[in-house]
Amino acid sequence: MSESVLSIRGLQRTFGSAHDVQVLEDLNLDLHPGERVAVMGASGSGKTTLLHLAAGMDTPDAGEVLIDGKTLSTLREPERSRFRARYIGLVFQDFNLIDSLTVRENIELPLWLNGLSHETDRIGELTDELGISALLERLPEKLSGGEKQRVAIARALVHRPALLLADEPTGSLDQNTADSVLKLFDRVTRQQNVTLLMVTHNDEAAALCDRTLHLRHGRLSES
Amino acid sequence: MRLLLESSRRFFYRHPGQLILALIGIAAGVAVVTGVALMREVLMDALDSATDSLSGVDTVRIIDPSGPLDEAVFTALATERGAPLMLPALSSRLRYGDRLMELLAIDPLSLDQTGPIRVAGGGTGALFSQANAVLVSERTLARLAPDADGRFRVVRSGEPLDLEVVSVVSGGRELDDRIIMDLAAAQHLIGRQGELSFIEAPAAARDWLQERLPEGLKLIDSQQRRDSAASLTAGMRANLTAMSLLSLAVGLFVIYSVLAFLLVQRRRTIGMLRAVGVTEGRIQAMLASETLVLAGLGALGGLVLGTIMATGLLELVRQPVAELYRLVAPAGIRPTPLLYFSVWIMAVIMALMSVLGVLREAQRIPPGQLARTVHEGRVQSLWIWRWLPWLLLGLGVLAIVLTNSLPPVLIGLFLMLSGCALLAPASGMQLLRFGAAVMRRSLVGRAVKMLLSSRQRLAPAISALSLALALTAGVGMMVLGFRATVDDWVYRLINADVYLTLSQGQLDSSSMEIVRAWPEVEMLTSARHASLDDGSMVVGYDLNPIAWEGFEWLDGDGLAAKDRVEAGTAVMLTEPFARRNSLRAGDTLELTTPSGLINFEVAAVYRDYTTDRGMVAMIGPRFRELWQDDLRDSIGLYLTPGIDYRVLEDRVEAAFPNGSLTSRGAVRDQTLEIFDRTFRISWALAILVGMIAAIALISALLALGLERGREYATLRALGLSRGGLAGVVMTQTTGLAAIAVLMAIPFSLLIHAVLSLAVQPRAFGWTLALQFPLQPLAVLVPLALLIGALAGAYPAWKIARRDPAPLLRAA
Repeated sequence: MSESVLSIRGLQRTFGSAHDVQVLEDLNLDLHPGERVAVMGASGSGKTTLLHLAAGMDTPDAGEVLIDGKTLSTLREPERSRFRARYIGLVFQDFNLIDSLTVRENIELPLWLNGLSHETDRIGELTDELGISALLERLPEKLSGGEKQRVAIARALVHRPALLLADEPTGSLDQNTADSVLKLFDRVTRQQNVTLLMVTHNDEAAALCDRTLHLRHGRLSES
Repeated sequence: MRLLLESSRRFFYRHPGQLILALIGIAAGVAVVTGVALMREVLMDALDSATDSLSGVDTVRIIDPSGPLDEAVFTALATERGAPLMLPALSSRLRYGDRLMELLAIDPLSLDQTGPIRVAGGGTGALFSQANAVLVSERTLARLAPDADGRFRVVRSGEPLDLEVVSVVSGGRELDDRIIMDLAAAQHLIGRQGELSFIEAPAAARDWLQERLPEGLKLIDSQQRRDSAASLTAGMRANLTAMSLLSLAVGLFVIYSVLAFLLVQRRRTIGMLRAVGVTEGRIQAMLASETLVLAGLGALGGLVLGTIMATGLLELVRQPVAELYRLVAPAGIRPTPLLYFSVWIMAVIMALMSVLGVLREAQRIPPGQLARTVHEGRVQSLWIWRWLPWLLLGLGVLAIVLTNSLPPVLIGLFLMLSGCALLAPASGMQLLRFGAAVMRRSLVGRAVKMLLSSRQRLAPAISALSLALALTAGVGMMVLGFRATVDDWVYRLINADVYLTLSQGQLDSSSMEIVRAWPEVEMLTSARHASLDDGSMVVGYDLNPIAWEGFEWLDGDGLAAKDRVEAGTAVMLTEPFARRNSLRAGDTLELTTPSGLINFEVAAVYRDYTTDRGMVAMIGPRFRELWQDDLRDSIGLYLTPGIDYRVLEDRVEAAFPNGSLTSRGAVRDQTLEIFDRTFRISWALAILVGMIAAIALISALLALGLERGREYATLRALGLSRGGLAGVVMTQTTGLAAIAVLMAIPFSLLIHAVLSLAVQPRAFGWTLALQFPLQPLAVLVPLALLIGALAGAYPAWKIARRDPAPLLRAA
């Protein structure tokens, strides 16, 4: 078997001033190149926390996260940011587009952060795929929920990340829009052959993945 | 409503920083208004009214408009049958260190006979027995800080005088900075035997005195004195009031910023409240109540702060008032409940008006709105809003150009400033848009682009900061330009090498002849001043060809009319005099002189900053003939090149034991010292306005940081490093300061031009040569950028030190 793109070992995370709320406990996970894994769990089970830790956006109390063989906790903050910018794509439930930037500028952000601003063809390629090429000069406030999430997907993939982390990508959409976005998401991520870790409540979304894990009492288990 | 208010209270409890900023903002604005209002009252009230306090009744005063009053007048009146109780007094200016004080010499017996003044331990007796004995109030004593024996030294006309406090009098603030002395002792001490400054009598005796008043003397009552003081200081008070109102306006921007910030913070809560059925009206009432409480409390703090500040401001202004108008104002303030109430209610009403925009915004929050970020969108504006800034600017220009008095010009200046305030955000944002387009691929470009979407939120801060900067720089440029003009004027007009003055005794024509005979002296000039009824002056000049060259003619040519001036048929007018009396070169001036009403041709109008009441200059012999006054205030000596200065000093010492020589440079320095003291108050107020604007900026930037929290967190999540994010935040705050600075530069030039060309001529009667000293901008521009960067440093540090995940959750 090839080496893991994402490897999580003994991850622990607690919250609260007395660290009395244990969200993740000795959690382990491996994702191999091109693998697509869904994580399901009840609200408050720690799914988003897992995603944040996997992206190096949060610091674990114990354990380690390795991406492409690099241990995130050994990286200093600027390196971790650069690493995240280079290797990870993120899709949020609330889209998190920058309202003051146009669709094109939002999608450009990861290219700019990686010094790849010249790769404008990549934006055209992705936006054509996602059907949003007519929206490039619009501001996010003028877009529907489905359009916003397609922009967010384009932004997450534009710099060809090794790992795509998606947090409830259809959580803020109505059923019809969610279905169509999900189809697009599935197609584009397969075309790009990205490794995907998606947390979701949605069974249909989970069904698109190679395997589904359940997060209970801070640990992952196969369904 | 109780629950809504409780929610407000808890919100403020959780955000004490915002609460404190809001309170400081409004308190600072109100403090400046209160301080200036209290100071204005003092300037108008009780000027030169110490003798009112001494006699304890409303009084009338006999004066000689042409100069000192002969003591024989008092003797004659006092010995008449039925004469009222009268108080002869001599007043003279003394300097104690930097402080100007008044020596008020009276008959000590009058203190024992009348009035509310009580002398501790019956110390008036010592006034008779001791030549240098004085009485002072407790407050004045504290300022004088005499030695253990009660002795202290003052200076009069350059000569030291040693005085001794023999007792302390209880009295009102009218006795502040006044030293009371026995009349005969004072006359002897300062060499003014037989002279009085005025005679004071109860107002009830007005008719009796009027019937017996010798020709040429005048009777004035306390209201006339008050009116005169008010008129003398009108320009100065108007300027101070304008500055104080502006500082309040800037303070109100802080209230707006804070309220807007609170709205952003609670957008989600308000959306929820609306969803569960709370009406728009109730939401607005909640925000209005918060404003009321914030403004009310802040204004109360401002009243306290302003009362403390007033004494300091008064100290800054008393000295110039004394030097410019010969008026010693009381050192203490007298607050009244009405003044406090007026300022408080004005502040609260203005605060409520300033947050109308926020209330309208609250109204637009739809029920269930959960997004915290504000999508400002494009506001469909009426044409009037687009053109309003230009309309205000146009009306302001018209008010300034088409009128001749001060109030419309001040109104015009406010209209222009309002236009500038409205213009600043839109124009500034255009500049930012341009900057973002030019640098769109860089961090700076992106940071600036993100800032653009908060234009409505940032508009008040941009307005406040650009106005405050413009005001500070504009006032600074006016003051420095004025200073340069005065410097140039002094250098031209005071062109003798040295000036001879006497500390005791007087110079006259024979003195002139003595000096003229000295081989070290090539030429002479001299001046003698007399007061006119309206507070203006007449000066008799002995001029030589070089002295003639010192005049800068503003209308007509005095040199061309030199023959007529020297013949005594024509006079020259200072600019303030010509402006007050609407006279131009070629007109006829009807002048009341001790020798009767005389018509003079106005030969020319010349630049002069001696007094804003104006001055009529005529040739010395004609002055001496009309005023029957052979004295000289000073004699200017033009020296032979290469002389031994020590020889000259020896000659002065031999011929005039009380004489002293002052060089041209020293006169210039003294003039500029007075000038600098005069404008200390303007600098102080401008700096206060700048400080309030800085609070407004910091408050707006905190709101910006919060509003942009989710965007910042997203950028971090996408891989922007802490340093990169700090760069974005600081670029935004510095960018904001930069556009405020860019807008402030043309506004400051405009303010400078209006102050120099319109306000100064109307307030004081003189024009200034328009110069553009850039020092204020050279200081303020980097300072504002630094404040912008520092204001961004805290939110940048706060945002950047956390991991992106908690930021995303919190946003």
